[in-house]
Amino acid sequence: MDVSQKTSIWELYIQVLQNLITLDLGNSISSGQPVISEIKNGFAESFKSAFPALILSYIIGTLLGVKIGKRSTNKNNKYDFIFYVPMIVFSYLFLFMADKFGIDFTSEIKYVFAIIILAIYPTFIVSKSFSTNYQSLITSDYYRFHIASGFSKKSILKKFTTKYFAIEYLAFFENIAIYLFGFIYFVEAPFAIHGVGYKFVTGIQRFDYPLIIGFCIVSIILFSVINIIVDFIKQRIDTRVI
Amino acid sequence: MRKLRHILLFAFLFAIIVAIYYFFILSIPQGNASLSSPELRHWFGTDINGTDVFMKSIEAFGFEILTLLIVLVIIWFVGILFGSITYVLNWRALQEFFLNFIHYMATLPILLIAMFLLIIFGAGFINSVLILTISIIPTQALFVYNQLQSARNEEFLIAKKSYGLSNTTILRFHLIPFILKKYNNYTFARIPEIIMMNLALNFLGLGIKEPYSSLGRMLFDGLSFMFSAWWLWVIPCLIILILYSIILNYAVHYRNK
Repeated sequence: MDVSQKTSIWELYIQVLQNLITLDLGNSISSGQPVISEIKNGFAESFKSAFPALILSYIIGTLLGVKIGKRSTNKNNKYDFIFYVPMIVFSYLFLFMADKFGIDFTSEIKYVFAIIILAIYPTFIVSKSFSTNYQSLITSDYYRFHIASGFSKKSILKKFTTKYFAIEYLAFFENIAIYLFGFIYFVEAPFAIHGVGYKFVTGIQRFDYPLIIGFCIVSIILFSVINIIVDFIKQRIDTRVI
Repeated sequence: MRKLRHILLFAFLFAIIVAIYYFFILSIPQGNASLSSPELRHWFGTDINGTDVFMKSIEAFGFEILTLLIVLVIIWFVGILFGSITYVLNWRALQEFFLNFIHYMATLPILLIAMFLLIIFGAGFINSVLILTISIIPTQALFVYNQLQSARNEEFLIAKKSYGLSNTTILRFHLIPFILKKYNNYTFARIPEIIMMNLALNFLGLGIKEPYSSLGRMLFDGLSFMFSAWWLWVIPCLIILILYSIILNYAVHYRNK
């Protein structure tokens, strides 16, 4: 877009909106490529590690949650802080260990490392939420009522609580997605994965404004869409939401 | 109280060690100290410029604690202030606008917002602390607002209203003290997030600038020497682990009290 020819800010604004509709976000200053293709490539690359990490964290988190929830108390463990440690620390450790064991971390295995590192904190969140809900469930009146009525523990969990847990899972799904998106750079930079985080931060360091603005617009749209979908599903399954 | 005594004792012993190191150990003469591995003269080794990593780590640790304290104090006060204002606001449209704004801010990646703001306003310690604070305040205010909303139907508040107390008096002397314990827990629970974000901003070079050092920047510098000078990244990693361990244990201790 040639800004020198435009005099009115409104004209420029309308032009930007028109370009946005046609997905024309301009060209990256550093690479010269269209911003939209840079974003597409970045998301495709990040998806390889972020999506499996999300799935992994929900699976392992649930299994851990069941194990913790079965305990009579759900106190904070003094080793819980490990889960809060920034992922950059884990990235460094994994990178160093991979080198020590002679693993070629430039190969496809880097995605496996990235998945594990990205899944650490979300796993903790899921397991914590599951165990808390599990404990509140087994102490609830309706659970006791059904046990007294002759239902087995398994059948109560299966028949009555699936929806309850699904609602709880949806509650922090977006937060986990934001967390993964926000901190993915700290896994991508050490492992040289040219994903969305890596491209965004490189754009910042090179003052590549079209790329920065493009990433901001796309991420805002993406999170808004995720939010709408989550709210829609929540409304469908949660009878308390009007 | 016992925990506080432990902290003071630890700080005192730590200060003695640093003083011994600074006045006696560093005075031992040595030749070229660039990228020297940990030894008696340099306990944590040196970096590419020959700077002592132990002293750098102490400085970085100090800045980390300082940032944490500043951010915690500001978000605590401003969070309560904004949350209370939103709660008592009679102008419905403004209240809705404020709530929508907070909700919208809460759904965006805070780190990206902070980075974006730092590009606009420029990097630096003060700017990074300010932007970190600004990015966290909306969720703090939202927490206060939600807590106040859920507490408004408590029986003791209805009783206070029936005595004829004004809304401001009830808020100041009854509602805020009522939610304070939960609010403190929530603010303490944000410590890992604050450290993580500060680390991230410093790692990207948007926080503390040279000649001062930060844990994030030390980690960034360590990446180039991942395999040739392990002490450059292992030391900051260990400090971060210790910091998290201490802070979270104290946060849990406070919550369980």
